[in-house]
Amino acid sequence: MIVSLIETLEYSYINLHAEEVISSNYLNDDNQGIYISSLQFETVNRLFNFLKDSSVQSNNIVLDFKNIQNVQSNIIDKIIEIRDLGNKLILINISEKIIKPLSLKTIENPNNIVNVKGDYDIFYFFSEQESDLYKINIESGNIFYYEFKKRLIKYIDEYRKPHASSFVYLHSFIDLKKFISFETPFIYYALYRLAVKIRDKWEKNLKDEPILVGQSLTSTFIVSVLSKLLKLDILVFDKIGPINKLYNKLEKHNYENKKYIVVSDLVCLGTEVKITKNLIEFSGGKYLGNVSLAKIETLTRDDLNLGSIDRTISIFSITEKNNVELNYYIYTNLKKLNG
Amino acid sequence: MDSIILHISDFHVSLDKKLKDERVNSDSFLRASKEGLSSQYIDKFIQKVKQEFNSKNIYLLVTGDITDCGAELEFNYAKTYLENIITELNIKKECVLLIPGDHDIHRRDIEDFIYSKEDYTKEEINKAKFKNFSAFYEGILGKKFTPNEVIFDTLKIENSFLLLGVNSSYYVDLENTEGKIDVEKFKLELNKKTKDSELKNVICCHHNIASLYEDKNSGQWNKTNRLAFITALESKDIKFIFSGNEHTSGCKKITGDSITISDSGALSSKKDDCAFKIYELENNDSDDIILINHIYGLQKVGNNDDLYYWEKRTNSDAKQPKKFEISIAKPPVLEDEITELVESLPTEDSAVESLNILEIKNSNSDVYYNSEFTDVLYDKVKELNLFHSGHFHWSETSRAHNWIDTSKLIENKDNLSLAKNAIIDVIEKKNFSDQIDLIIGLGYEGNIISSKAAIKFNKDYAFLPYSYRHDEHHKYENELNFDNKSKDYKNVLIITDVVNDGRTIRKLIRKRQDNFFKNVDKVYVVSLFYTGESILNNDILNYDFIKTIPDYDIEKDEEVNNIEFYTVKSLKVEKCPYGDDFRETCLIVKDKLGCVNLFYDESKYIK
Repeated sequence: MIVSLIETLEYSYINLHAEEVISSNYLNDDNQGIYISSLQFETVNRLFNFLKDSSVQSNNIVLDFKNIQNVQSNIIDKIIEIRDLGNKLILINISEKIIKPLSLKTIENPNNIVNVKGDYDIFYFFSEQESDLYKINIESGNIFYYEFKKRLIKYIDEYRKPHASSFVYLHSFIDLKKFISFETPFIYYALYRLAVKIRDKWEKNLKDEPILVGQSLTSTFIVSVLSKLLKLDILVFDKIGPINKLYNKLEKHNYENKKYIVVSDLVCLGTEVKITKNLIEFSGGKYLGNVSLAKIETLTRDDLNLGSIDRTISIFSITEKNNVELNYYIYTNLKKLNG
Repeated sequence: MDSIILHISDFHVSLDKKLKDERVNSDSFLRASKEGLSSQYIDKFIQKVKQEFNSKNIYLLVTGDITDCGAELEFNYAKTYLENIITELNIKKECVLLIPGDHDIHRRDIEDFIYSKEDYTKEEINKAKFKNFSAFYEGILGKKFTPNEVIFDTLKIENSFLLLGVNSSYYVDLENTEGKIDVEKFKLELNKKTKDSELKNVICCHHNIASLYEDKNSGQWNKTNRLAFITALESKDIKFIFSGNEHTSGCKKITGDSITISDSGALSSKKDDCAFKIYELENNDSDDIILINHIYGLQKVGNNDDLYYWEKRTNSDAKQPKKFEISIAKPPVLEDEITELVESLPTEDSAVESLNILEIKNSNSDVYYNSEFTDVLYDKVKELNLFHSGHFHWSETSRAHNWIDTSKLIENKDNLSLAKNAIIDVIEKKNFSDQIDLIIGLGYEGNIISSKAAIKFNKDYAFLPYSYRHDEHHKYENELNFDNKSKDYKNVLIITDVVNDGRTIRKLIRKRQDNFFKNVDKVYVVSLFYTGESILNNDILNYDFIKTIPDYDIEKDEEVNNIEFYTVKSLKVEKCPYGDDFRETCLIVKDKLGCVNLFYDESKYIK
């Protein structure tokens, strides 16, 4: 299983850190979450076996080394074996620390230029003078965005019914539960990216070990995976119904002086998030923020207060730039004003 | 077969003189010196082996720490002692498996090497550190030692099974002394070296992967690597490890009872227990491969004429098994006999005879137990006060006077990890990971504890709310989403936190998702807890069993008989003794005396 494989017309992309996180935490029994910085032979070997046995469309393979700071000593042999399967390799986000262990200096290509920090943003693992690959802009965020959008569109059904928690109508319903079931193993890569985003956004706050709060059946799956990746405790609000009464009665959870991150699958107008936030704060806890797989941005960027604690962190946004393409819309019963 | 395996370890042949401030090991009987009684010590050992098994063909297994500091002089004397054993006991050199220990590494050679070069690889370090051992190895066996292989040698025992020599000192250096290997490399080498072999494999290494002496589960093995190694062994059906290092003769089972470790003890130690083992191949009429475990210990009497002698220990006193079952030929399939028995009965069978048949089937029970999960989980229940008393109502028919707060258990990330790993352990121990086509996480907690299994086994995954909460969820949340018209999903695994009588599961299968499950052959159900009142076996969630329970309300149940059930821990709760009229008959409910905890919306049912 390779979770981060994304195939475009020009290349196949793989994120090695994501694969290492999967190898270590799920195939072995390590508990380092996404804080691993070493790439192990086992992971690259797993990739080699996958490429050998499968039929990826492109022979151009992009290996993303972002977040990798060390490599096991025999990795380069395996990377060469991947190349020798008939692939052209492009390595991106190579830290200065791993240039030597990867023996990159042996490849002579004038297009391989270090940046000001001494890292390679992009490294062509071949020496040809001419190649169409030199003209392609490769950026992992964009690669992921277009792939997620391409997959998500299959799970947006026409709905035309009221929203469950807010007094608006949904033109379409995004079935993320079905997305999670059908888009494996890609969904694990998506959750990896969400974990990395959370770590980058709240690096200081994560030292206080905030608690991940799940408030729906679908979000509990996300919470379960994020707990492993970020090494955080969890709390489940069961439909904000009877279980909360029970917790209050048995005084099970102590909220005092603890921080909470509310985890959602999809945030539309944020009603359920606000309810959860209020419950946390009323109980004495501190609300850190909200994370979600996907969110709907109903305001412009100017009106969205980017620094606000109420702004959801997600790995995919539906905005005015893509909602038509995705066939997603929210409306009310009010008539439009003339002009 | 007339063969034995002589398992010895930890000679610690030691120099008497070293440089100032360097530790001299005076504990070993075996010295790197002409002075003393080292040769006599070896002679006494040889005499005992001859006395016990004179005419047998001997395979020799030496599991490391042959020297004390890996010095050339220590190896020179070790060679003398070992050659004496080989010659006197008529052991063929091709019947010897010689494994290095962490003490056989020459640390001075490591230092010299790293001071001689700017850059170096792990492989170069290994060559340097094993230089003296390699010369010793080649001198004794006439073949080269390969320091960068994990499985560096194999020894076939009577064409019956294979001893694999594993170099657990692969990563030992100036700072690290723990056992550790490159597990991926191990798997590759194992595939290569045993690809045409049907023989069972036994691991032979120096470091102990569990402790007999220390109060430490992971022994002298790197903790993380240990888990990966054990997983690899289980996946390759390797059930035995012969090792040394701890200077404690003993046996231990790990991962439940799936892997057995046999430590020979140290051959030479003045203060620790001196021991060795002889595994005798049992002569039997079947194809079973069984080793009889003979244990010998040194009695240090301190007598002027006789300082010590070797004597045989009784296995029961030594708390060690008498036999190791390396391979057992498969017995006849029991279910076929029972099926024939059922078919031969006349159709007018009485209910009693039917019950007897069910009892016969149920007595062939298959229950999961692993102390690392079962007992630890129970300890967590007690430690966190998760077992509550009161009135707990989950539906109109599901009511009890106890409740296990699994939600509280899994709030903590380490406990959550334990729960996930327990579920995985059940699946692996019961060997159905390859068969399952779909995993379903049932309920909030079931969904949470299933995620690791779904990823690890790379299976299609879905999650559903509990049946009794069905109406409280959005219709999209109640959808299974997978279609089974073309019968792609023959075997389904349902994972949940708690199962009582299984009514919820049967309702899910037969009522809520009948369209899907009607094309499913087998449903595996795995839970953290079983809280019902039946004696645990894997049949107790099936309708035909449930209907035999006295006073069980079978009318509101669903007929499902293809469930195979396992739980990590059985912990009975007291069921509500009242019937459908509980609102009138239970004083607590009727008079609203408090402590009634509702897990569902009862307003729909109250007139």
